[in-house]
Amino acid sequence: MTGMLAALGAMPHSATAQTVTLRPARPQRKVLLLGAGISSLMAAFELEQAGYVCEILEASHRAGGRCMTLRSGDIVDEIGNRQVCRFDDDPTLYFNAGPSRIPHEHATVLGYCQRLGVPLETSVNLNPAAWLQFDAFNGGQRMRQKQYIADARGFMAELTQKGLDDAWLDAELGESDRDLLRQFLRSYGDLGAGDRYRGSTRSGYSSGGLVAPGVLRDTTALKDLLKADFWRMGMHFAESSLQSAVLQPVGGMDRIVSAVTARLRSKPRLHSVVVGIDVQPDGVEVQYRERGELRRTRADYCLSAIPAQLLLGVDNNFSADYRRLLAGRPRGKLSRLGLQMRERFWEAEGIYGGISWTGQDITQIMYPSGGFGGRKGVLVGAYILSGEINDRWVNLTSDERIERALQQGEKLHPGYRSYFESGVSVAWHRMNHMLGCTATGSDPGTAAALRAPFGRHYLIGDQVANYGGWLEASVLSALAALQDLDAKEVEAA
Amino acid sequence: MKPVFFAVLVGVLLGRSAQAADDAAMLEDLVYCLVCHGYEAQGNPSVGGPSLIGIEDWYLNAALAAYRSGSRGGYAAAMDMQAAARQLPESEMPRVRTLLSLLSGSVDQGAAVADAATLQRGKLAWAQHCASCHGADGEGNEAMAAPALRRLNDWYLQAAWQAYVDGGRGANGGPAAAQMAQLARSLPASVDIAAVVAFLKQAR
Repeated sequence: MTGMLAALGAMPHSATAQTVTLRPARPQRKVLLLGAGISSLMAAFELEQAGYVCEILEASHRAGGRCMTLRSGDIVDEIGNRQVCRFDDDPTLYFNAGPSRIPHEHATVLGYCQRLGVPLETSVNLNPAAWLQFDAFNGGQRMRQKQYIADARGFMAELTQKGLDDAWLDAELGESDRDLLRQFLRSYGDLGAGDRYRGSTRSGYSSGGLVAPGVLRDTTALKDLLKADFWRMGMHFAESSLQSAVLQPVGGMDRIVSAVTARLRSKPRLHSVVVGIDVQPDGVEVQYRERGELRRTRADYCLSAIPAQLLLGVDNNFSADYRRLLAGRPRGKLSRLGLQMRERFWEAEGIYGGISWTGQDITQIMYPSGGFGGRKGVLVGAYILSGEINDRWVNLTSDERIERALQQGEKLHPGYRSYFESGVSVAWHRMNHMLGCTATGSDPGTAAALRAPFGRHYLIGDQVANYGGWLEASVLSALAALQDLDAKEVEAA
Repeated sequence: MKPVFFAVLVGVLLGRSAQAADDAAMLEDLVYCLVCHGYEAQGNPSVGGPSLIGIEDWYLNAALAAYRSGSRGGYAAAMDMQAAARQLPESEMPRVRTLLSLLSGSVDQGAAVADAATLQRGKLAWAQHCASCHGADGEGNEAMAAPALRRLNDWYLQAAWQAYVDGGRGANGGPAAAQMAQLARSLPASVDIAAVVAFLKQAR
């Protein structure tokens, strides 16, 4: 328990796969799981293996929660923006509207992929050949990231060489280490004669290079480089868990959902909206509406992945303290938008996977990491992290969002709009039955307190993790709940 | 829990005929009201959805019209409602009205209990600044386009007031909303809104 809870708190650096070994269930022991997101589904998988009877209630029309991959004909149930995905009916044309990447350190989820037979492939996360575009920089013109990074590092290295102070060097480094430091800086910045930076092959040549002699690109002055907000996020985002290459299930993130669901004896009951939760000394009673019928069910335990903000709108007998904790979880905001393009024009620009960054509202354009060289492709045409932008974005209709995405994409790819065929957009903070998503880093104390069960009711999902928005966090939350449940069962036996 | 109530309610909400093929699956999920406004429409402070119990028909129409036109919806929770209102077709309104007429619960009065002095302060401020439009007991007055307030959650009354003060509400609204915003911004700071809310919720 301690290890797993510690891992939850320490996300995203839990590099060791967590497993749970439940003792065999006594006959007819039952667990109710509310919400069919990844945390519930994995919990049900483990519980059924141990012999528990499971019942999974899901309010919406689909299982998977935010682990949602959109393909032809899929419904987006966003309040005010109901849409049907109009991509071509082709399994390679998909859009991961929620999580799309599994970092190498998320060993628990990777372990489940292996157990469940979900094939994985590399997802290109950092691609220095992709673009950056910021209105205040380079006259608003796009630039290859590698050109920016080479110049930024070159000038920083030159500056550091110049600024090395003899007294400091004497105090910190011996004679031989001083020389090593100077060599390090030359290598780091690709410095030329006199320890000056005059451009680098790392930027890519402006012409030639392989057959004809290469001509170096002009450098961009340091004071101009500072004007691109690229250094605030895009330049360094892939230096944590999200390293340059991460993993993704072949064919869409929801392959994990279908693989685990296929292994469950009790499939999620869809269109089943929980309206009441009554936590009793020896079990939990739940009322729900299933396609108009009011039903009642009962189990020995309840694992609830219902978003905290909606759980408070359910009739309940939680304590005032527990309710206060639930109310303390903020509603996270994130938006993504998928665009089917009739040609993979970005590949003609030498971009195979990765992300372009812009200071415009769309923030990012993510390129597919599979299907290289094919005809059509689906781009993530916007991935908006800023709460302020999300507040604006969510109030646009889907058509307006697509229009903006096309307009803004034009600055990164001239002719962008001419390739557009069909788009679909998801603002997680307005999705029906969710009305919010990950609230990373906000108030870790509340998240930690919510990991403790209220009697036999456990709140699960990334909402109880310190670092939300990751499948790993969701699954770890479920495993932690299961371990506690297992311990309670031993006491009771 | 009140199972009978829900059986009726859900029948009302979901007993619809399917439209286009694409719509069919979506419509089954169209229980939007209670996702935000809570079970039995008791209100849910976490998403800012107030109780709908006892909402006046005229006010419901006016509010929905304002949301649809965009004259209301200047702060986060109201923007969510704006999106929902624009999605709600006029043809659904009879069912919404039936739903609302079935609501019989009472709103959670809030945990805090105000003392007699606070209630008295609230009562005086109410009589001085609020009663002329909203009625002596907060029962509302359609002629003044002033809704009943006593039926609302205490946290919502506070939030609505704050939205008027901050300009998120009323700035683009009709005459009544503009008047309310003007009042909210011109009221002396000495007026204790928490006491007014306490008076509305507790005085009998």
